[in-house]
Amino acid sequence: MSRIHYDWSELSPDILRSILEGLSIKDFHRARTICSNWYSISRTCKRPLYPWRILFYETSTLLFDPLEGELHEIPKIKFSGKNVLASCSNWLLMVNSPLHFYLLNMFTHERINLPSIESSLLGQETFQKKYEWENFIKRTDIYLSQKQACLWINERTRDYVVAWSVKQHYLFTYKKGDESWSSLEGTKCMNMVYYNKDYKLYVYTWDRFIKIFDLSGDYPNEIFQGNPYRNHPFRFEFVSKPWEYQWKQGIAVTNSGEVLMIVSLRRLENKRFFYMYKMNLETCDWERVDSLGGEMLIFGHGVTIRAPVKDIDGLGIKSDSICFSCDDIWPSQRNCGVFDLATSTITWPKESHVSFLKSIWFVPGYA
Amino acid sequence: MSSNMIMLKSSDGASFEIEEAAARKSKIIANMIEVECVDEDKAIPLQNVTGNILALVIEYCNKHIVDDDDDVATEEASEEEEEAKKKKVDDWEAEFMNSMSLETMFELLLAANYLNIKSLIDLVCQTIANNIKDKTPEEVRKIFSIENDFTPEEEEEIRKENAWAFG
Repeated sequence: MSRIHYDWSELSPDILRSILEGLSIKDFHRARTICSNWYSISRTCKRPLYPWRILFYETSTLLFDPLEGELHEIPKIKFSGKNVLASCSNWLLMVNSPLHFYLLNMFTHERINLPSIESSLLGQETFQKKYEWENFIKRTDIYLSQKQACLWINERTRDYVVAWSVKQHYLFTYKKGDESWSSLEGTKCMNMVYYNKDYKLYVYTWDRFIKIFDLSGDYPNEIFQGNPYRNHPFRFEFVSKPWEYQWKQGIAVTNSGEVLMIVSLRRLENKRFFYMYKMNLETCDWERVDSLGGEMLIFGHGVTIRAPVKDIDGLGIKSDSICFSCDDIWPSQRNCGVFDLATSTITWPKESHVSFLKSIWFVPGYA
Repeated sequence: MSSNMIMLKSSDGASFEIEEAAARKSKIIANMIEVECVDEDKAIPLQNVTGNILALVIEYCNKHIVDDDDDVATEEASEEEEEAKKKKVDDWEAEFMNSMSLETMFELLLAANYLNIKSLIDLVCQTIANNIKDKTPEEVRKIFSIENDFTPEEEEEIRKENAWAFG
């Protein structure tokens, strides 16, 4: 028996990885604190990404893990769904009145404060303008849904990019290490998404164009020559049937960098559908597509993730589906659902506890 | 379909007879058969596997080769039948792993890895993962006799990263 030295900490990396990948998320996070070897192997684990939901109640906030079927309460943090602007990995982009932005880690409760946007306005605008701005905000309330934001963060390096737009008039970006927010003037943002692989911000504007900004440098730089969409706006009325009304449009970028336009429809007979369009880069026509090539799309995040290998029981979380939140469809719901592109059906979570006020999707990542 | 028998020899000199089809569960042995370096009357020596562990490996392979054959024979089996069969295999695997000591699992894992039997590696890994379920890091360290080699500062940092899992 003494021939073999049972040194579990020195198991071959492949095997140890396989053991760690077999753990539930909670056990996984505990197991990686066991020793340095387990920790470094854990960082190479490919754990399946899948969407959780955040449920906002009157007095508390819960995280729902669909795979474990478990609810995790978020202690200590009190917030309502109203000041959550965007999410990426384990982080939420939050805003407090008056315009105080910060990033919040849902699991560790770590907080990263962003510089005040007001001071950056003060630097560029006249006093008059600032006065208008404040009024503007007071009048409309920053909690209105007329705002768009996106967040990208790297769990390991903590590099992050934030973009925020309100009332079509203002679009700001902020990147880790920047002294202040950058203002992208004249960009009437309806919807946007940041694609981290090439540091580009894709903005769908109110005049139906897609603008691309390169955020890799010190200042955001609009790309003109390299923008294939520059002269090819996406106008839903040109590609739709007369009886199809759009409710909401969103821009998305897939894992591999393909730009998609997603339309949430308001159809007759109250049937809700999503359509997806992709521009044929040769003919420059917008064409309908019905597949995400095995990925799933989180509508509000504008990004796709590789779908779990196995469908998550009864929740419709599977490849080629769109996860949407309450106000992404018409009429608005309190709950999130999943739209299956192949069958055009919607799966709702089957919960008995539905007393929450609002719920959104959230895709935890792994550091 | 060949029902050739081949011989395997453990590191401590025990010989085992096994159907070729079952032995092919091991990619290493399958390879040896492919390149014809298996002498009909000579046993394949497995330097890294002791007799008691090899017996377990063979038990596993035998069981699974039978199941694979079943799959071919009943291609048009109904969904219920498929499910019943899957349950049968699951039950067998659960029984097989049940009451196995951690030391044995460790050795079995090394053997499965050496012989390259993917499904057995997965089975043992998942069983070990189930052993870790709901345990604190201290308990896991104790079970596996792993030394905590973090400095207090490092440990604090990593615990913070994963704070919610300790809640």
